[in-house]
Amino acid sequence: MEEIVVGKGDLGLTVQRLLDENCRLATAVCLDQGDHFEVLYYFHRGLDLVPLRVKVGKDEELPSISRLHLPAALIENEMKEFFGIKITDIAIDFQGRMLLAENSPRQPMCKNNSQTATEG
Amino acid sequence: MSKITFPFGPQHPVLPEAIQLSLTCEDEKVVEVLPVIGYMHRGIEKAAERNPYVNNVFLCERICGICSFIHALSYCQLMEELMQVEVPPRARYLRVVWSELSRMHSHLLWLGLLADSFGFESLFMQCWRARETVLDALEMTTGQRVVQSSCVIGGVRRDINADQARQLREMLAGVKAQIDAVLPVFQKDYTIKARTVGKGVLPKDQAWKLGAVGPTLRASGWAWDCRSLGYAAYGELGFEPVVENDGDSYARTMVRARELVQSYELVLRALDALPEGPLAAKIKGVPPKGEAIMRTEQPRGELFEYARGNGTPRLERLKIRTPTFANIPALLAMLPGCEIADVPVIVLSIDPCIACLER
Repeated sequence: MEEIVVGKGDLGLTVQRLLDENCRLATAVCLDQGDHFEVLYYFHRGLDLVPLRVKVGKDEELPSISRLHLPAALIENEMKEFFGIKITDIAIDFQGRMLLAENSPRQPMCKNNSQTATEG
Repeated sequence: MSKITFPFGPQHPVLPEAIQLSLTCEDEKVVEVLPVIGYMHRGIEKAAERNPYVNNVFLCERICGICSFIHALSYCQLMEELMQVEVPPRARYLRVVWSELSRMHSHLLWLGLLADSFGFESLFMQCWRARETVLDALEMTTGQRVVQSSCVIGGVRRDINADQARQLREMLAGVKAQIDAVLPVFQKDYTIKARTVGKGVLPKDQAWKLGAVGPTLRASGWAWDCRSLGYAAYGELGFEPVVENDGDSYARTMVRARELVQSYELVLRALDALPEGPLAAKIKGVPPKGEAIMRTEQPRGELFEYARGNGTPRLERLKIRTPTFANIPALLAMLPGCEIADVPVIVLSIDPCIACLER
């Protein structure tokens, strides 16, 4: 499984190239690395997987890939809700209310968040 | 024509679990669908970071009560991959036996729910009666009907001895006779065909592009099944995916119907070839460190798990992508254009498991 590592600026082009090769998104995994997030996209190529890794600063925006590939929308919403990663222009944006309720803990998967406390 | 938007669910006779679809309709025709989820989220990925990694087997098998064994198996295989543990052959074959029994009871449950969705109560009861025997078989071999807890990191906790294997064959022969009695109804009955043929069509190219998995994908012509990867003992049992080509609710029903028979045969083949030897490898050394992924085939499709360990007893991250999560975009594409009356059957046709979807 050869991993592709790209900057966030090249994400869209790389995803489009994979889609042109008849790959599709299996899922994406967000990792809280302290000062930045790492997002690992896994694409199906037949039965094989192609991992694509992107690093993004905690105050930076990451462009959504859901305009290129709609199935990414749900997983991007989940990452945004659970980690607070700033994913922009999601095709179907649940505004932080896909899985979490109004009184749920905010960004519960972040490591440095005392987090499990509820806001407000 | 004016449009009206109304909620389908979260409580609906056809939905075994809570999910809402916001349907926008023109007259009786659905023109747009949006999912409203979050009724059953339990924070299992977060909980997995707080448990010692060994205890997560019990957490993972409680994600869902229908495919609980395969959830445990996936997590155990993930940890074995991360820690380079070699599972003894007998354990690998027993894992296939319990996985396929789980698939049988899941597919029988689903066939019963489908029958109930269009009012065939007797057929529903016939399917669930057969399922009861499969649950009895799970209870006899693992001690538990729903959450088996027979999978451990490194192997399995329980054995199937020769006497239990004989009893299991007898029980499954009875189940096979019941399956042979009900499947022709699903295949040939006029009303069932009227309710499923041509309903919720998912064309082959769209099925792939929308990320569909499991019977939802295979009913659209894709021979794509994670068991083909050969995990556990599937690589030694001559496994071939079941495929249908029409991509409608009927094709998805036929995939599951044929997989029932296939699972029955796989259990018998695994019992025939069951090697002698230990049930589990000893786990030595430091706790898991590094990254690994694992994929298995649940009754509803590919289960994808990712783990990252840091050498401590607690995982840094466990990600679980369930098959229903992957099948939601396909469902949203199947519904526009259908009649309101067909929505329940089309929703059921992906065999949604909301407990899995939301974790």
